[in-house]
Amino acid sequence: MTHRPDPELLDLGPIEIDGVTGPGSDRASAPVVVCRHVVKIYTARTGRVFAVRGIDLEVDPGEATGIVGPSGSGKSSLLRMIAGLDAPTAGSVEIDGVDLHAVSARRRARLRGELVTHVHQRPPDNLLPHLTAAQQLRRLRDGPADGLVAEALDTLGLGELADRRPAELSSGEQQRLALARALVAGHRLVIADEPTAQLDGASTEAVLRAIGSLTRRGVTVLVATHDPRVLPHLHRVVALREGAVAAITEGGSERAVIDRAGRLQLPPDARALFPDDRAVVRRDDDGVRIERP
Amino acid sequence: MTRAARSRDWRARLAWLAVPWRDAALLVALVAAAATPAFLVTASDLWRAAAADEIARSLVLDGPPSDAELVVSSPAELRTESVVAADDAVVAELADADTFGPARRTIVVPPSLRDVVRTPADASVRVPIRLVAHDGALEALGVDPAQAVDGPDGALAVWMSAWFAEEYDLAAGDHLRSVECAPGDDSCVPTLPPGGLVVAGLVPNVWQPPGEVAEPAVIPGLDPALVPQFVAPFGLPNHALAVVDATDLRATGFGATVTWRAERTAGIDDLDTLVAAARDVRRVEAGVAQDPGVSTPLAELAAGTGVPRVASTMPERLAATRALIGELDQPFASARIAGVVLGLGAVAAGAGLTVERRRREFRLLAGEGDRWPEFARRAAAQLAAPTALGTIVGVTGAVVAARAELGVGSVARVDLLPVLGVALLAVLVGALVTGVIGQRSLGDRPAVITSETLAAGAVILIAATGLLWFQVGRGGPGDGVDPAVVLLPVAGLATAVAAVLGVISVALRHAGAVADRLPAVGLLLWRRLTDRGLGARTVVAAGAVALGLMLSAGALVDTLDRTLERSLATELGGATRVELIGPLPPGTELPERTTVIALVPTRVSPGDRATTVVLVDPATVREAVLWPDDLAVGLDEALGILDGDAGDDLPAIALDGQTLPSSGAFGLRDVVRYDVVDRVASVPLAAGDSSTLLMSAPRVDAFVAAERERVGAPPTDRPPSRQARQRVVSALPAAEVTAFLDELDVRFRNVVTADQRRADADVVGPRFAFGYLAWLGRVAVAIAATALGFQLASRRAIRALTTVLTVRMGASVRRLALVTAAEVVVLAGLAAFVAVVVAPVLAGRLLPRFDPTPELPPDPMLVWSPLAIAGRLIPAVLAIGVVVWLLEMRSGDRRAAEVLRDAPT
Repeated sequence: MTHRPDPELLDLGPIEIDGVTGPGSDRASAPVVVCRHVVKIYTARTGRVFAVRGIDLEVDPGEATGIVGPSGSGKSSLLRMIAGLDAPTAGSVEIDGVDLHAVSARRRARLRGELVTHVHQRPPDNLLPHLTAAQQLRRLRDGPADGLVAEALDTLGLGELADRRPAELSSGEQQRLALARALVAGHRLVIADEPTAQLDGASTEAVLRAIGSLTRRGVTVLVATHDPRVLPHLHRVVALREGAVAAITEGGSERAVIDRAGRLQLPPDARALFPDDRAVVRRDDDGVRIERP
Repeated sequence: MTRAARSRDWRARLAWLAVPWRDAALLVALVAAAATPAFLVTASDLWRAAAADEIARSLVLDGPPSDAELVVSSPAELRTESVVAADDAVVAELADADTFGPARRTIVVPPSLRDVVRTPADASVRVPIRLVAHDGALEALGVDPAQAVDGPDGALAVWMSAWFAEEYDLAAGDHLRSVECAPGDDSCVPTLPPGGLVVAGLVPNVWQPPGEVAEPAVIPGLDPALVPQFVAPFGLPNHALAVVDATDLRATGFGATVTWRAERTAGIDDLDTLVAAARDVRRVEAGVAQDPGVSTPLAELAAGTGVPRVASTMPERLAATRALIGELDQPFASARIAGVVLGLGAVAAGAGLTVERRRREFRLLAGEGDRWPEFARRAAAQLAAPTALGTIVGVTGAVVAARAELGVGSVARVDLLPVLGVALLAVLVGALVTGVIGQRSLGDRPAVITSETLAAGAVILIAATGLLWFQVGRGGPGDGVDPAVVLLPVAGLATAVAAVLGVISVALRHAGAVADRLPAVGLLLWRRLTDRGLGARTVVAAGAVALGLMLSAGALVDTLDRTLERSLATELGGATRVELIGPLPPGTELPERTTVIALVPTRVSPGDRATTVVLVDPATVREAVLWPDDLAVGLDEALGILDGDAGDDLPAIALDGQTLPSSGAFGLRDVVRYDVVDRVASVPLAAGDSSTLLMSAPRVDAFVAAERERVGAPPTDRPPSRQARQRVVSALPAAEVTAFLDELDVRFRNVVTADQRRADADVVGPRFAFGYLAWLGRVAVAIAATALGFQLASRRAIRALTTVLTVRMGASVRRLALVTAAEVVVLAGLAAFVAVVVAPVLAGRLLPRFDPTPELPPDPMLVWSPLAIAGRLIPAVLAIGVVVWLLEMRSGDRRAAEVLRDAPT
């Protein structure tokens, strides 16, 4: 089933990352992130809130995947569950084949430390204020790590800034340094929540290049974003709406998602054609037509 | 690893350890938090030490002059060689007693010279003569040995007191023999050597003639027991003093007592000095008993006539001091534990502030997989230096505070082991709290109730219980330890307040529908009161505990003061009590509100029981004596009994615990018969005396006069009430009473007022204990305010956010101030609740242990004055309110955008 992209979604063109189109890894490898029928319901004073309503998602190694959607679409909830910070009400979340929420809290925290780099929206939140750039990375390894640290810094264009503390770095440099942690720590997954929200254009470009460097090295990047500058640099964009996956854009084309129950989300402009919430579904040789009654 | 890499690694480690130090405000907060428990534990030690010193000082001050002496005495058969050898040994032994000065020796021949006959004319003097040889005695009496009158060869020269010589018509040069005559037999055996005694001269009286019994003028260093005493009002001195040169006396072979007396070189100013003095006494005792260098010469001196003795009141005073100090263990222990709990509450609040100030760091590390054990381990290392510094600050601060409050205090009096223990506990608590709160910074609630934490909790609980029991059971388990008093501050107060806060929170959360309809400020207040934060609840509980403790301590101090005043006034009988040396002149008109009582020490028959008869003047006692209405027998009733009819006998009120016979008699020359009409535990004027009879002075005097007339004896101008030791009891101040007595030229001594009685050792202890509790209460409020400040600072971001949002919802700054005031009012209400619940329990447990005169009813009642409560609570609450206000107003100054940007996500 095809659908027109939601007007709120960004216009997605071909995705290129440094001249390489598509994910830099073999899609036949096991996915790094697997979400199966993930549901999240919060209980608030006013009642229950269905933040995530059954999301199925797989993210392959070395893939840069964007999570987009309006406020309240469930982006943050989904990312928190993938990061192991929140447990799904139903369904499962696997990182590197391990169901995060089926293990003990201690093991989950350890897995988080071994597999995931979390990049927050505010650059200073990602770094320890009292350590230099090199020290930020060196502490992530037991034993000698000077070579690895230097390589990571050079890869992300921070080689000259090894002895500077976060307060002496620009916002973009701080975000790149945060991303460099994944290289040094050997993490499989980077979860970035609005990493470019507080950056200017040049810094954003630098951060995006850094993301590309990570994916070329097999690191999987999951980015929640509203920033249109980011989307062209992603292999895939998952659009959420009302707690469910509305569409996935990959290779320049957007696909609506039909969930296991056979439900399909219409884009808002198409949705507006059915004020009574009723439609006639006709099937023909070319596919399925949805018409007003 | 290369050298450069190692160097970088160590720099990184040091940088990590120094993280708290990079934030000056955080460092100050951590040091202050760590200082709090050290401060309170040290203050407890110093107060207790000051109380111990004051008790030691007061006990010794209250004692007789003999308290200042260490006396070694031995029976002897006087021979020069044995006296000299023993003298050298004992003086050397006493010289090792550092707290006592050089010894002075006195040789006393007991009054065994019964019949002294003057020669050449026979004349019997039937009075004991006591021969005394004391170094320097003749010089002290102004005697010039060169002027001595010679006697026959072999005679022992004695210098006779002038009174004795006049009484028995003796003069210098008279020769005396001492003989022992069998009853009814004219044969007498001489008891002195052939030379006998010759009165070499006369010395001034060392006592005044009878009729003016004055303080004896003693020869410096002379055993006061050797000085003639008048043992009965109408008796004669029990011996006459004859001073002999020591060189002569020690060669006589007489049976004698040799005494070495050393005086303390300095006063007892503190417990350590008393301990040192007692230790010296024990050492001398051991030397006299076990050291051959001392015991052998003394045994030769005694020649089998007896054993040497060492006498000093220092060990007894030390035991009494320790007994009084022991009564302070429990309240100080309770206060110390309460202080530790409060202090650790401050530490926990400081830890919360740490996480808040380093929120980003904790969030980052939690995101990397660190959990509360990692946070706690890291925090323990980082808290070590601030805690060590804080402990030093706390100990120093306590010493300074003790000097300011008490005038004394030094680190040497501090038991540092508990301080170190508390410091370690502070690190542990700080680390654990940091760990738990740090993990929650990611929103990930830690599963702290694991098997590991249960095991650790059990270990800590058992260790704490053991430490608690050891702390308060200094006198031994079960020796008066009251677990309720000890555990109440630890478990009861905090639990009660936390439970109340929890109930309020739960109730308000369930009233959420109501909250929706509240105006903006009401909603803000509701949110703050339902704050489920552990730190918030802990600190509010600590604040309420502190206020409650302050109120309780204040009430206890007020009650003790009132009880003490009543007890003292009742015991003294009035504002002033003066002991007269001689009776008042007949017909003396007393000032208003003044009376004279007479104390007759006697023995009651049947039973020959030692008893004190207190003779009161009904006409004047009513206005002068403080007689509480709620005693077992009221004043009117007592006077009615004393004035009543008891047949041929005189009515009396007995204070004896049922040991005196209901009917009996007392007196030697004039026998008085009595009949007990009522028995009570105690009455004023006789507090503390056992076996006392209270009788009417005019009736006793009239009874004696009538009896004398009946038997044909001549009347006496000194009836019993004038013969006995008289005391003036007055409601007037001491200055007026003594001025009155001076005008009459009446000599007196032992002027006792309530102020003086307050300084007595048995009163000092409770005053210190309760004074410390009151001081602790004030300090606790300051600590609670500080901890609350920490907690508010740690919640500053959230509080600022809610404040800004409330302003956006239309609330004014003034209304926000009302919200703050409402929060403070809730805290004050909780504190009042705690205080009202706790104070009666504490008072009921503690006060009876410290009633200075427990035999005097009524039992102490808690003084719970609403005015006093308000007077203490309002300033404390205002102080806390100011802290909250300042923090709130500061956050209100920030721009909304700034607040929203920094709001925790």
